[in-house]
Parts: sequence; structure tokens; C-alpha cells
Amino acid sequence: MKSKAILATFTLCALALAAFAGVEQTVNDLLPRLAAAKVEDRYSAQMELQQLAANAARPGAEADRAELAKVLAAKATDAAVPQPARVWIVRQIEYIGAAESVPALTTLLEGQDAELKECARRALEKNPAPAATESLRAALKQGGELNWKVGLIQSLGERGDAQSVSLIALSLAQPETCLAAASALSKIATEQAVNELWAAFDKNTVGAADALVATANRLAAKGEPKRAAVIYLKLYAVPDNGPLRAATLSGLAKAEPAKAKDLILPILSANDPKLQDAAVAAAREVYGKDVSRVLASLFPTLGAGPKVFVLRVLDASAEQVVITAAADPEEMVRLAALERLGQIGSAASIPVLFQAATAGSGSTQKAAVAALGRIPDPGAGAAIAKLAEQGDAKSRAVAINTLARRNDPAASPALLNYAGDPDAEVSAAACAALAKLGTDNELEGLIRLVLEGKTPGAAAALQAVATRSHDKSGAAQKIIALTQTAPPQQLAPLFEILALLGGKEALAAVSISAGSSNEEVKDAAIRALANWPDFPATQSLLVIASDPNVKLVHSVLAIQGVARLVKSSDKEPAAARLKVALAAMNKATRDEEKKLLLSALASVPDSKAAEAIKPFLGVPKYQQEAGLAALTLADALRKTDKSAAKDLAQAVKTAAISDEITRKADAILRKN
Amino acid sequence: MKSHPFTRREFLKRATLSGAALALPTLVPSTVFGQNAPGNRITVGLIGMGLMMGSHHHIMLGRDEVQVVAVCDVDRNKRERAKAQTERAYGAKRSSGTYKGCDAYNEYERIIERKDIDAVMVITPDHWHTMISLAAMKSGKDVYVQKPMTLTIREGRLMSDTARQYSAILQVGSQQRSERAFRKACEIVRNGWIGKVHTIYTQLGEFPQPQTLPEEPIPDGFDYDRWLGPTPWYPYNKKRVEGNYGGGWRCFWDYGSRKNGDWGAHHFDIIQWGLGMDQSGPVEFIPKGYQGAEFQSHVYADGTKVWKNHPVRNGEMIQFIGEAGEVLVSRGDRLETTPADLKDRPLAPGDIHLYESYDHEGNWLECIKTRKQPICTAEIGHRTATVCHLNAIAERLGRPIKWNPGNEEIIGDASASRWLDRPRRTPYVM
Repeated sequence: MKSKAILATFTLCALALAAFAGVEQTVNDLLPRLAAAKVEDRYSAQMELQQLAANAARPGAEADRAELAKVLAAKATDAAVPQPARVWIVRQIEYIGAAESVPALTTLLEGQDAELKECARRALEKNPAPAATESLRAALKQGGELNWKVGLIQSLGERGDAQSVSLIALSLAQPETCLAAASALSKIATEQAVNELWAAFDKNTVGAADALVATANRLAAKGEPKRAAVIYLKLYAVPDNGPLRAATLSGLAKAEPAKAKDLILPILSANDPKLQDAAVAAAREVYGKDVSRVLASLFPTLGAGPKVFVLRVLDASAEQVVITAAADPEEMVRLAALERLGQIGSAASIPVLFQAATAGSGSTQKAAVAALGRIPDPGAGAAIAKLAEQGDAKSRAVAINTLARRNDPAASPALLNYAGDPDAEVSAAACAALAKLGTDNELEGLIRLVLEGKTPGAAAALQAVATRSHDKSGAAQKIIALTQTAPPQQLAPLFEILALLGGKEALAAVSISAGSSNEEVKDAAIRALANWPDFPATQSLLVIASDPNVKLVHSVLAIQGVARLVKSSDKEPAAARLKVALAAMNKATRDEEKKLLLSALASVPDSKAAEAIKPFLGVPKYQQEAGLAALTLADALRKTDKSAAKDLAQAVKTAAISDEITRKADAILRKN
Repeated sequence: MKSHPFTRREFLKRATLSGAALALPTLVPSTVFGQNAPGNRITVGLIGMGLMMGSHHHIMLGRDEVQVVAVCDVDRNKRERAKAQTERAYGAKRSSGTYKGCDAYNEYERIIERKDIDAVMVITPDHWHTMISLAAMKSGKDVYVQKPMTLTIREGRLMSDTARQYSAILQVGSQQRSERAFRKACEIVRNGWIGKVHTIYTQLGEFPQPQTLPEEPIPDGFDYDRWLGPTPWYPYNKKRVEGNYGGGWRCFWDYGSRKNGDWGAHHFDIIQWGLGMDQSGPVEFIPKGYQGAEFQSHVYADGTKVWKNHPVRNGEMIQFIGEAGEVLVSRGDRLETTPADLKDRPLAPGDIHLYESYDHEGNWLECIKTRKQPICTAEIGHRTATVCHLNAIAERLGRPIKWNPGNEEIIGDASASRWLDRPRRTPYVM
């Protein structure tokens, strides 16, 4: 039994040794590459070692970590290992080293190689073993260059070494080290450290005041508010140091909440805006959710500046205070109050906001309008809706504008009623609001308003609502149905809206009207077709252009419509676009439309379009437009039909239209 | 004696002495002194005059309410060039055509100790952000600091606490927060219009691997020791220190968190905003390659998962995927939603309205005057940088990290916890 245990132990030891040997071998293999003569070649080895260290230090693998750390510690102090390799090794120890690494790091700390010394210091700073502190403290005792001492002091501070206080305090007297010493003492934060800092503070030592603030913060966080308060209080009394007072104010108020009000009130009454801001921030930290109640009680006694700061933290419980402030004689207070009402106000705030929005001017009016648009309380929305219902026209218009700003679709039915209001101001505001908020539900009502012809803003509102309709076909059908009974003079805006909506049914209806015997209806329909968004309208437009009895203006509109649709319908087959463009070219009687069609042809990437353009290159009155169109087309054709592109560019060059056009043709030929 | 005009600070001091009404919030509104009156100017010191400062410098020179009175860089050429550019710009606005009043320093401490400077812009590499910003705030200055706000997570806590305690206005340069499309995207997500968000893809790209570099002579006028500052010593090589959006110092772990820090500080920041996590953060970070993971990811407590460099539809920058829709958002005001009309849906009063800013630097300047909090505070910057750094730590260690955003501690991994802060090279003290 005993021999079995011995064997097991022996086996484990052997395995451990073998594993150790394995890790060491891995590290040994990396050493030459870590110090490769060509510096650039070191990187991959560095990353391999870094990965090895990261993996060894994974959670739950303490044995792996310790094993690698031991190997690395041995290599770090091995003079036979090249320096660049040792540097990188110590950098890994910084992240994985513990007690086993301290002796090696201490050796390096005492060595002559400045880079390794600095790496060892950093690694000791991060090392969790208490012995690391002792090594750093011993090194500081030993002294050295001032820069070196700064590093050691920083490390001891990071480790919170209470035993180093006297040693570190010696460095408070030297300008090169005082900042590091003060910072380190603030992190140690013992009674002795605090005393040393006060002594330095009394001598105006750089960094002492901020270090004391940091010390007090640390003490407060550790649950020692009384000790913290003593420091804050003394610093707070330092005259002419705004930043320091601001920094200590919140700490002091938090450390002694019972005295907070006595601290904050005098500051709010004094003349330093930054401190006032700090005082309100301090109040917020001390009183938490109760800050609004506390500061609201002080509000009437304050000057304009602090009122602005206080308003920013008042909540709904102080709404009445904010409402009163909205009428303050100081503009900055009024503006802050109006802004705050927009955030915390209820229906009770609406009258004062509304008053400012209707009777105020400039910034005040702007702020009130913005607040009315934002105020989230549901009761506020209802109160505004009520104001839109009654009162003088100007007030109602303001209320209606506010409803629009609030983007509440629930207001739309009421807005439709107001759109038909006999008062022009009310009606215009309601139409503008509907243009923003109206939905499919208001379409029919708006169409009727348009047909009645008494509401100037209705057409624009209808257009906006129809354009964003989720059911364009349904919207079109509603409009088509109403066009059947509408008087001719009311049809134009309806056709325009159908043109915006597009679609088969709308196109059919307007195309039929384009052949109407009523000139007014016909004209409105043709104009709508000329602006139609879909390619199928080209057929109706060609019919119009082909009518021998058509008026010139209608023929021109039809050809222009075709040219536009040929150009914009790049998803349609090229052949269809080409066919339509050529048909229009045949029907066009004026040069202007022919030029437009040349430009449209340039957008059809087809060799037949090129053939269609070519004859115009030789006609002086079309040469310029034809040349430019041909260049555009040739450039596009380069991707699909190089031969046609080259042929067309050559034709342009041969036409010798202008130096500029020839130069561009040459450029295309060169690219081919 | 400097020839720059009265600063606001000097004006206030004189006004106090003369008994002028001072019951005003900090920088009194321009209506009191007149629009852009000299006394209403904010005096600014610019620190770090490299590539990234270019646009900030230009913007500051173009603002009438700002007077750039000092520049600082460890590269003599850069600081002298910046000084000359500043004086030329101000000179051009004067009838004399000349202006002398911008000082150039090698040491940032010279700017910190000047009591006539109201605010500083810290546009250095990441490893200098905290040290300079803390010193500035403690001296009563307001700060604009580039993203990511810090080099380490512990630095971030310190920055946020200091800004609060010293009542400093600190704006982090995560300027995507001041772009309409990003705000709108976050409002759509925050208001639940795409349902519960479960997956987010974002594209950060990748930097080339860092390198071990041979020593080169340090250029004349370049204070290399100061450039390295608190980071470990390495021999000088131009590739290590150059400012380059595709690499340079941004490649090296010693000076940042590589892409996780560089672009993560933008996109992770927007994701934090969209998820309402500005005061908190994810709970787990899983590196690429771990158990075959094709992409790096991090996970929030409710299970929402963020994937880095997973393809994003249409090549956009961020894609929020919810149970009822999607949001795609990029710079250049690019916003796409499913359903499509969400992107145009206006907010109702009861909806969550996020902080509106359309001008990141302008927002900072405005907040200096009003003492309101800026759009990207130190706490926000810290929480975002924490996401960046923890992803980077997981990447370096090659294993997942569990994180407690409440007490800001890594859970159950002592070795990983050592990365929460980095020792500083002597003699650089924070």
C-alpha cells in the first residue's frame, strides 16, 4: 500500500517535471526569435509567448500559471538570455506573475539595465503578493535618480502601502517628485498620509490640494465620512480657488448631509456661476429624489443665474414654481422655465405656455411653442385640443399648430373639421397640420374640401396625405369616384394628386379625361399625364401627341412627358424605352422637343439608340445636343457593347462638332 | 504681454470689480454682451496638433465665439505650423492683417497652468487623453477629448468622477451622436418601433498587425519621450508615432485598443445609445476564434448580441435587428428601416426624445456657456470606452470575459482584471 503511494507520488512528480520541462522547452524555443537580429522578425514570437501566458493564466488553471511564471522568472534573470527576450518576458510576468516571480523581479529592480528595471517595477506594481510591496519599498529606500523614484512612488501608491508613507513623504519637498508623492499618499489615505499631505498643502506643494480631495473621496467611499468631511471643509475654505471649492462642495455636502443646505444656499446667492452649478449638482447628489422639493423651497430667494440652474432639476412636484418662473422678468429664467415645463409640465402648465406662445415674442415665444410641442403629459394634449376648439382665431391657429408639432394622429379628425372652418387663419393652420398628420382616414374629407373649392390649403394637404398613403390604390379609387361628379373647374388638383399616386386605375381614368370634349377637363388631364410617375403613361401621351387636332401646348407637354419617362424609367426594358422615344421623335414638331428626346435616347444603353442618334450628328441645329448625348451613351455602352461604343465615339469625332466634344470622344476611344 | 482681446474670464473679473450684475449663469448669454463681443469669447488651448486636430483647429478658428490662444505638440514643426496658421487666420480678420497672440508649447502643462484659458481640446493619441484631461479639469478648464476617451477602464471611471466633482464640461469626440441619422436610428430602437432588438451587426474594419520595429534616429525637434508619455519605452521608429487613419500608432496595443477603440468608440457608442445603455454596458465579451467563433461579439444582460465585422446589409455601418423590423444607419445621413416608413415617422410627445445636437463642437461650446451637460459626457465616453477595451482585452487573452457593469469588475478572471489599468512609465504621473 505504502509502495503504491510512493509510486503514485513519484509518478506525479515525474509528470510535473516533464510538464515543466515541456513549458521550459517551449519558452526556450522562443528565445532566439524573441531576440532575432532583424527586429521585425521578433513580433510573431512575442505574440506566441503572450498567448502562452494568457492561456496559462486562465481561470481555474493556477498550476499552469505558476509553472509558466516560474520558467519566465528564471529566464528573466538569466544573463545568458538576450535582453530583448528578457524585456518581453518581464512584460508577460506583469500580467501573470505572483509570489513566485517576486525574487526575480526584485533582482531586476536592483540591476543596471534601465529598461529591465522599469519593466520589473511595473510587474511588481501589478503583482498580488505582499512581498512585491516590500521589494518596491526597499528600492525606494535605496534611492536613485529622481525619475526612478517617481516610478517607485507611483507603484507604492497604487499598492496602497501604508508603511511607505514616511518614505514617500520625503519626496513631497522636491519639485520633480512632489506630484507623484502627493498622488501616492492620496491612494494610501492613512491618517499619517493625510497629515503629510496637510503639511505639504501648508507649504503650497504642487498637487497637495488635489491629492487631499482624492484622499477625502477615498475615505468617503470607504465609509469614513467624518474624516472625509474634515478634509473637504478645510479645503473648501481656501479662498480664490473655484475648482477646488467645486470639488470639495459635493463631497462635503454628501459627508455631512445635515449641513448641506447651509452650504449650498450661500453659494447660490453668491456670484460664481460655476460654483452655483456645482452647488446644484451637489444638492442633487445629497438629496436624490428629494432635490426638487428642497431647491424649490429656496427658489424665490435666488437670483436669475442660480434660478436657471435650479430649474433644470425641478420635477413635476415643483410644477407651480416653474409656472411662476415662466413669467419671470429675466428672460434667461423665463426660457429655462418654459423649457422645463416642456419636460415636466402637465395640463396645468398649458395656460402659461399658451400665453407665451400667443402673446410672447422672440425667444420666449419660440421656447413656449417648443415646450407645447413636447410636453408629454396626456392631459396636456387634451388641453391643447380644447384650445384649438374655441377662442379667437389667432389662439386657435396657435393651438392647431401645436397639435401638428406634437405629431399626435389622434388629433386628425378634429383637424379635418377645423380645415373647413370659415376663418382663413384657422383653416390654413388646420390644413398645414393635416398635411403633416393626416392619414388615409382623412382623404375623403380632404377631397370634398378640394371639390368645394372654399379651402385654399386643402389641395396641398390632400396631396401630402395621398403621397404618403399606405394604400395608394385605395386612395386613387376614392379620388376617381369623386371626379365623376366633380365640376370641371375642380378637377385639376384631383388629377394632379392622381398623378402623384400613379397606378393603373388612376392612369385609365385620367387618360379617358384627356380625350374629354370639355377643354378644361382635357387640359387638366393632359397636364396630369405629363407629370405621371409610371412608364405606362407614355402610351397615353403618344396618343395625345399623335392627335392631328391636338393643341400645340398639349402636344409639347405630351412629348416632354415621354422624354422624362424614357429617361427616368431605367428599370423598363431598353427596347420598350427606345420604341417610345423613337415614336415621340416622329411626332415631335419643334426642335426643343427633339433635343430633349436626344438626351432621353442617351439614357437607353442600346446600340439601336446609338443608331438613332447618329443621323443628328450631321445636322447643324442638333449637333451640339446630339454630340453630348452620343458621348453619354458611348460611355455607358462601354460596359455592355464596346464595339457600339467605339463606333459611336468615332462618329462623334468624325462629326467634328467642337474641340471639347472631340476631345471627350477621343478620351472614350482611348479607354476602348 | 499677449495681444489677444479680452477673454470672457477677464471681462467677468472686471465686471465683478465694477459691481456689475453677476447673478448670471456662467458664460453670460451673448445677448448681454452683444453677439460675439470679445468678452464673450471662449479662450481655447489646442493640445495635440496632428492629423485629427486638423478639422478641429479649422472649426475653432472659424468660430467667432472662440479665441485660440495656445497650441501644444511634442513635435516642434507641428506646433509652430499650428501657431502660424492660427495667427494668420486671426490676422486676416484684422485691419492690420497681422496678429500675434497664439503661444506654442511642447508641454501641455504650460497650457494647464494658464489661468486665462477656459477650455482645451485634447486631440492626442489615446494614451495621453486622461492625464491631460484630468489636469485640465482640476485647473477649472472644460475639455473636448477625442475618442476613445481613455486608454484603460480605470482611467474612465476617474475621468467621469472628476468631471462631475469639478463641475467640468467634458465632451467626448464621438461626433456620430451629433448626426441626425444616428440619433433617429437610436430613437427608433429606443421607442421599440422595431420590437425587441436581439442582434446588432457593425463594421469596424481591421488594422494591420502591429510590428516590432528597428530603432531610427529621433527627428530634430521631436520630443519622443513625451510622445511615449506613460506607455512602455520602445526605440523610436516613424511608423510607431505617425498619425495615420489606416495604421500608424493606432495599430499598437500600447496606445489604444486598435479597431475596437478606434471605430468601436464610434459604432459601439451608437449601439450603447440605441440600447439605452449609457450608464451601463454589456455583460460578456467573446473574442473572434474562441470555440470557432467567426466574429467577435459582446452580449448585454437581456441577451442582445453585438457582432463586430459581421457583414452588414448594403455595406452600412450598423444594423439593428429587432423582432419587428430593422434599422440600418451610416455616416452621411444614411438611414434605412424596415418597415420603410419608420425612418420618417415623427416622434410623439410621449416617445423617448434623445438629446439633439447637429454640431458636436458647437454643442460643447454652447454647454461651456450654459453649463448644461453636452451630448457625449465623460460617463457616456467611459461606458463606451469600456466596451471597446473589454473587447480588446478578450481579444488579447483569447478567451471570453464576463463583466459586471454595476461595480465595473471583471468576474472570475484575476489575470484579465490586471488589464483594467496599466502601470505608467516613470516619470509620468496621473
